Amino acid sequence: MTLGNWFALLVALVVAAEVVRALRHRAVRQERWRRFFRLRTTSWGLGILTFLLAVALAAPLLAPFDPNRQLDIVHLTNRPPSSTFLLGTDPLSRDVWSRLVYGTRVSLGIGALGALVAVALGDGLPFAALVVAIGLTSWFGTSRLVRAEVLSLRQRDFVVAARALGAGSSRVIVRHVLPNAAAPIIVSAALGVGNVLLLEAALSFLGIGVPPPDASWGNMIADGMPSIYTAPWSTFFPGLAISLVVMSLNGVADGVRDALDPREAP
Amino acid sequence: MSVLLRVRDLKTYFVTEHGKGTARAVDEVSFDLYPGETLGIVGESGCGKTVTSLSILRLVPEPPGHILPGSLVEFDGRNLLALSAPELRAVRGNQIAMIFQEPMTSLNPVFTVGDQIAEAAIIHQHLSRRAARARAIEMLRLVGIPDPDERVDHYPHQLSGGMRQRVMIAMALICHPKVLIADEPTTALDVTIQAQILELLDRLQQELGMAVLLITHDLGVVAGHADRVVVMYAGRVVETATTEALFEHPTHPYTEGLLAAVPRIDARRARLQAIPGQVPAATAWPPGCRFHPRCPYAWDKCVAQEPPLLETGEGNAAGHTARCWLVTEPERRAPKR
Repeated sequence: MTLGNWFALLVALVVAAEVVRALRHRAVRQERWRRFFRLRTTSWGLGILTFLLAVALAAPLLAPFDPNRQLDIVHLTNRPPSSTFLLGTDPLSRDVWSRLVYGTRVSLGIGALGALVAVALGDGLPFAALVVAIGLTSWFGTSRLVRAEVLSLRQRDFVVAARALGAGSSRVIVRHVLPNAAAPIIVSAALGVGNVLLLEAALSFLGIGVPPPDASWGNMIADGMPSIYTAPWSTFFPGLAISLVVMSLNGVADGVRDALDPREAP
Repeated sequence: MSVLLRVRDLKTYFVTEHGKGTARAVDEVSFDLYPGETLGIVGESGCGKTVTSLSILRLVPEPPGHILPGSLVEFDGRNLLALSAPELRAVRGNQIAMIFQEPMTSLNPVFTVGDQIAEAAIIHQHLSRRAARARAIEMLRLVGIPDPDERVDHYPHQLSGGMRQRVMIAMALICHPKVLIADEPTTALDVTIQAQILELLDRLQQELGMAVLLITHDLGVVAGHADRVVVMYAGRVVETATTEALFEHPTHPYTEGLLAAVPRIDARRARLQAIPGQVPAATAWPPGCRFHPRCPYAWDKCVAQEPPLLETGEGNAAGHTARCWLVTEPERRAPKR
């Protein structure tokens, strides 16, 4: 780790903290933001996600080594964390910290895109194929949830009242059904990102996800697996990153749900 | 005076699941509504009064419900049942508006009351958002909500039940409809709030000159606020009369029973009188007069043949009709127990 890397990391942390602080500041005046920040986990989740986003964007500044380079396959395999190798090295003598930083791009990107199936048309073949595969298989749960929600909303009194006022089907759907179904849909989508992330990790772990040597958190765990007893750091840190993101997403999803639902107001 | 809303032979049936048959919820219901008057429709739960009101604006969920061909709901010379969907939407909320029983659930929880009141004005009068908001504030003031400038931005959960019903009324009246259908508008409210809401409806009716179709199970409400009354039982109209004639000379035994069942503050009675039995299932109305299993006067003719609506001539009030054979054989009305 060079001084420049440390400085960039500090900047990323400050940016994340500053974003959360600025948004919380709005909460003083705006009801909706106040509801969003009602739970402390939401602030933490938002901070962590912002931080990781900054890390993904600034990866070249944060990574002291080329994440795919095998530094010294004879002498530098499975080194424990040190000031040079912040999180140690993996069995192929690659710097775990650098791979983790670059893996953030892949893992966060695939998580976000996988949840938005629409992006499945983008290029970049193996990556796109993975996104498509995940996107195509993970919408079932959400659609069932949405369907159940819409069916129950359709019977609600205010929908009948809106029709009695002369609202047409599109107006009823856009103004009365969707906004009331939005909270569960968004929560499900946020949790979906977490699921997609886990799915990517599992697929990469099985060797059919992100192709090597590119780093994703999933294939880092796969690569580190053989020496998990002697060098746990090469599996532990990507695992920790995955858990952090999934928990953060849950926290933010809770906040979004509260913000969208005026009945939750104190 | 010309008829504003003419309902003739309205039949709304529901096809029930598992082949249990057809529920004839509304069966050949006919009545007229004149401009500016209040017509009460009374009856107990399950008699078809709510389905009648929903059928007028074709709000009955289809399936399972359907309005049978041959039914007529004529408004402004047009049969509402034959209108296309866009034509019908132009009537709903604009010419004929409706308020519902449950102010708690009849407002959309995610929009401010101002947004919801403005909705009909935006749909029908194509007002800008700003103009619609100004109209919404005006309506809130009209229905007697204090601080309308502030209340306009409140969400439904921030208002009490009575306030919400006022908001519902503001929503329904923003386009100055000619007919207001009020389906049990006060049933979910406290008695004191009930009186306020009914007074408000009376006042608005005078100011805006609309006709009100007041659907209720509460004879007290009818007595104080309706000009004429239609009594429904088992999907049928069983008696129609002016309010005065109905209370002075109830003719149908069901009406008689309803009036006897009203608790009175000025009469000492050990037990409140009740009509024995309950409304039969809509899938299996009794043969003959549908009230005969519960009727204290019923005789074999009532089982064999259903009476038509007969002119009573009672109290020389024209238009007082009852669906009862007692009109033709009044001597069978035994002295009261």
